[in-house]
Amino acid sequence: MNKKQSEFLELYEPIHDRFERFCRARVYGDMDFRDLMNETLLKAYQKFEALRSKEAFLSFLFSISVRILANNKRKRKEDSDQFEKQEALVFDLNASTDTSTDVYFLHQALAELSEDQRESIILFEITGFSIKEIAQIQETSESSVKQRLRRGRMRLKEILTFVALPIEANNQPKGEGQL
Amino acid sequence: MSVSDENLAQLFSQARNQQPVANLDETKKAFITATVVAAGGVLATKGLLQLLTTKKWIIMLSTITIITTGTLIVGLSANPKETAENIPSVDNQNSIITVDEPQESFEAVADASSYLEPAIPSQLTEIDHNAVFEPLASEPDFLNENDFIAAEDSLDAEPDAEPLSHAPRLAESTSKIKPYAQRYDITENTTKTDFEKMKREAEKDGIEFTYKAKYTDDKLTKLRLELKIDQEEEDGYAQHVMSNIDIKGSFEYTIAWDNGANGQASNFYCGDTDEFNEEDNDAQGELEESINEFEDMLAELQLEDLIENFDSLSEQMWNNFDDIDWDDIAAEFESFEAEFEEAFEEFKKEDVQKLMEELKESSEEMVKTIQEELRQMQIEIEKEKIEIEKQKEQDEKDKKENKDKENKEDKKDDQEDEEGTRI
Repeated sequence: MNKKQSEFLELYEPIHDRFERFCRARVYGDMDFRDLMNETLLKAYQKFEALRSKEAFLSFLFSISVRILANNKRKRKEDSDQFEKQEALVFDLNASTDTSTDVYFLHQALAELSEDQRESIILFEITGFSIKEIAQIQETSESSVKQRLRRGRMRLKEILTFVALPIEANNQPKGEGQL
Repeated sequence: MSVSDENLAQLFSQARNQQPVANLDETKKAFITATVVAAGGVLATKGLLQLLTTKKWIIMLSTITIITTGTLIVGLSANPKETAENIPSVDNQNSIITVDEPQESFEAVADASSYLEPAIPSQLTEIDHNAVFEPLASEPDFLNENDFIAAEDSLDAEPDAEPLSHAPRLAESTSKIKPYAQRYDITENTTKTDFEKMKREAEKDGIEFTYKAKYTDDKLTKLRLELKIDQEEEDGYAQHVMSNIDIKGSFEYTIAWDNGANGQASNFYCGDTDEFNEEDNDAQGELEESINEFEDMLAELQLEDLIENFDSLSEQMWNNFDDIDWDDIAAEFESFEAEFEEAFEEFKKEDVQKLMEELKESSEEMVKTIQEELRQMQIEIEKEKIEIEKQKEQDEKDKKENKDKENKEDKKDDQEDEEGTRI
């Protein structure tokens, strides 16, 4: 491992969890989040010299990730989409814990939102970015981000209402039966 | 069952605190592997790009080389000087060379004996090179060995090959039928004064005449002649003859030329006198034959009979002319004229009257219809006038009535006001 790689990984290590969660939530049903992570890290590494301050590394990484997704959206094929969706479904259903199940349904619901809404909600709610940072990453205005967050939450509620029964059932203690 | 904001926040909180599926070590390994592969990939791409760039240069350079080489080859092959260098030098210099010089300054050395043999007496074909090129006191400058010039076509000529098309060959030339402007027979007894005379006449007619004669016991033993017409022909060639003759025994040689419309020499001919005479004899024979053929054709035409027929026809024509009765023709002409006048008068009387009557009838009808229409128009206009007057009267009446009503109402109001004040 050379100096550049070690320096890059040193910056990446503290934000790994946030980045992993973002990728997992963001590409649920579209592609393997590991691919997105690897591609983003590789691009970030190649453009590492362009990074002005270490504090901006997180937003630098997420900006690259968002651009990659935007490019992939144009190149995406329907057949591969179906395959990835099935793969993600099988993977998450094997997670047996209640928390994993709830998060699985959340990801499923997020996948039904529009690209911009999904991205804004994930960045704000899961990754913990401020509205200003999200606006910079998405290259849009703060009011737009606010609108996306508001509409995204409303849509999520609607979607999750239909899957609330399994969520409630999973949260209830065993033996109470299902509604 | 609806999902509240709290439930949603709880779900987000769970997602936020969820343990990552892909741990850091796994991600690090994948990243390092990807960087290595990417580095190789980038290098490969750069290498490929370099190769492509090099290939492009190779293609460009090779194309330029091919074009340049091709141009050089074509250019060299088009330059006759380069080719002429490979031609062997003259073997038979004792020959008459009829040369047509191209427009471009082109010099070549060749064996021109093949097409000149008919012009040289057989006893002169033996060459004594040493004798010819002995240094003489008055050796002219043009008699250098390299000055022998042949046409381009003769460069590859075989000994039995066809002669040059531009060469004025005696054997095939048909122009010998017409008389030459100048003709000189050179024998072993021809003196220098004769040659000087020839030179003067030739130069007068625009021929560059250069000669060199060597005498032994007042007999001509060696002769070098060069005749050249500077004026180029239509095809860009000029005539140029060089002869280098070593004389042994009897010798008869002739030079002659034709003059063009401008009085300058257009063609010249050199060769054995016998051949000139043969040509002239042949031409004379041909001319006599053609005259005989023409006479035979005239005889076949039977002109006397034709003339007789023509005379009889003319006599008949005059006889018929005399038989014509001119009085009858004049009477017929007068009768035709009278008939024509009568027909014209009849036409005037009958047809014109009919036409006039028809015109009168039609005009009367037209006038009647127009008058009726005018009357109807007048009636309508009068009716409209009456209606307008009636409307005016009614309007005036209405106005008067309104005024009267208003006056009455005003009066009533005044009376009421007066009564009110009184009360």
